[in-house]
Amino acid sequence: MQITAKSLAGFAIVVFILVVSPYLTDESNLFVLMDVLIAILFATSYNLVLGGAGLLSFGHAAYFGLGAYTVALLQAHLGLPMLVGIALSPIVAGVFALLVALLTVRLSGMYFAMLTLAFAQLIYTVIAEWYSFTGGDNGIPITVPDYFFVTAHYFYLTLGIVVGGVLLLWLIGNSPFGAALHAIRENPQRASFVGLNVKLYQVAAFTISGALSGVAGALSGSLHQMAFPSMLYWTESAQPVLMALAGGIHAFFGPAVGAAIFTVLNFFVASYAGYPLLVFGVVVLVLVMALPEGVVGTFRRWLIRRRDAGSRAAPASRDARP
Amino acid sequence: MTIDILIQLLSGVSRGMILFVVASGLTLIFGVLRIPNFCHGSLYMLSAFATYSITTVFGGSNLGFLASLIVAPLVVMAFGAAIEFFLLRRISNREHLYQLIVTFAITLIVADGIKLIWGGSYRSVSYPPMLEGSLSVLGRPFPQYYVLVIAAGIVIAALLALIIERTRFGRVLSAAVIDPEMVGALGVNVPRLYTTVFALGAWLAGFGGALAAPIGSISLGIDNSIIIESFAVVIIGGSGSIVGAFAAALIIGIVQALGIMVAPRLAIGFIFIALCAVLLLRPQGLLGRRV
Repeated sequence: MQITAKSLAGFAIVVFILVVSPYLTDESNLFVLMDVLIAILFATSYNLVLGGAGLLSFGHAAYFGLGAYTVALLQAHLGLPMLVGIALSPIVAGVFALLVALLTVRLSGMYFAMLTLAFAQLIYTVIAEWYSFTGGDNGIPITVPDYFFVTAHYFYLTLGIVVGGVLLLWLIGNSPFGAALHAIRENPQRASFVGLNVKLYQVAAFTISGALSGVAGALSGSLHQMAFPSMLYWTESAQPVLMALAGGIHAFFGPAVGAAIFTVLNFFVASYAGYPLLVFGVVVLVLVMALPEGVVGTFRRWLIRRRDAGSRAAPASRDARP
Repeated sequence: MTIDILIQLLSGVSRGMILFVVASGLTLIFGVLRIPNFCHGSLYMLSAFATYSITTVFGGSNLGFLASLIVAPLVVMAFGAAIEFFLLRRISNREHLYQLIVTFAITLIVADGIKLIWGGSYRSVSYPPMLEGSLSVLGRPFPQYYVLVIAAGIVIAALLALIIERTRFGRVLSAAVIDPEMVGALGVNVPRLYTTVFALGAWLAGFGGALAAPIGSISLGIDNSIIIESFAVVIIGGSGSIVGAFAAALIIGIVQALGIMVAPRLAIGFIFIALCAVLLLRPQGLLGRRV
């Protein structure tokens, strides 16, 4: 996860292309691009829990959806504007994530996965059934202010928040906190022996991850001008897991690559295939069976292998490898 | 009023029995293979649709009902064994996360596969003619079919207890719940054990699906509702524990049935309240080991 000049340069180039993209492409592509950006924030913040803390959460759709509902409910009940809702979404989603984390981190492995799933379903049930407050199945519309009704304006808002969120996650991953998480993921017992409060770190990672997932959800709800219960349904919780795995959970930008691949794939499959779940399921199956380390992980291994093959002639250069 | 509660209680018990049959398979798979089998609900749904087809072929006769109760679970069992043998076994040396994702991918494939074969509309299976009527419980009608469901649940529980307590397979299974590596070291063919347990679990999901088919309607999406409740049973009962699953399924069935009388919309929420209570007091489940 170290910051190298190369990856920084790559990041800068991608951001630059995104900044100029409203001038290069039409509106419908921008909409897909915004969905991709939101998915990138969602998957990258999700991976703080999976790749970072080594905990398999299967309930992140709840925090994503809570973000969207924060915007919608504040608007519907208190008349607060969209931007205020987006600003408050990490707090609301973060508080819920904190509560769930406090109850669930004492268990590990697949038990933890089932518990996070169960709590996410609880939040889903309350939102889907509390008609007088949340509108139930019908969802709640979100009104977007005139300024952000211009696609390019909302695009820049999304881009700014997503880039900010991803940078924040990068900084967290490279901070002492991130290093401690890494130690915990590799060997929780050893980490606790050297004096790390394992549960505390796990709760903190889960809370940050939930909070930023909430931001992604707030952006998504505002983009589609609607908060609806199915955003929180358990099958949606599989999305960030699949994205992170497809890209690779041990590379910082792995989940982002996975998010881009899956969002674009979803878009094409939903528009052109008669049986989208079937196609999607088969793609996931093939990815998991064939690319165990994800796209980025596999690509990286391929690079290393190629470099090793090239350096065999001059073994001295191997020592220079970082 | 008290009689209403009693009737509601009884239908809660029958609902709990179906849940037990399905969840017992899930808890065995989770206990031995250590993966939350997401496609368990899909196996249940597949069996319900197969039951629809079989009973339709037989024109809704008693024979058709019996045939579906035998054939549908077997079909699903074969499907489950194939999933384990051709997919899960190939990645058994990798993190369990990948196996979980495979079972999730199968839920997507089965959901659309069923849509492809049976179409997206609601189906219903009528009660078999021999169980169409109602019993009189303290002067109130109670469907005969529910009595069969309760009886079937008890028989399955007894059979499972017998298999686990009295057979070699059962002893190996119990040992694998505690320590699968040790079981392997003792010379048990672990891959074969996994396939057998997965097939047994799939059969239970299938039997539950066939049993539940005449109750309510069969539609896409029944996989999602049963899987969440079954996970709740596994957590509350404790992983790998049949007795725990039986108790948990009864609790959930009854709590839900009574919850419907109090607050119909939030009935499902009561499951989660039970779940939280168990978690706070006994994180390993009612009858589970410490994890």
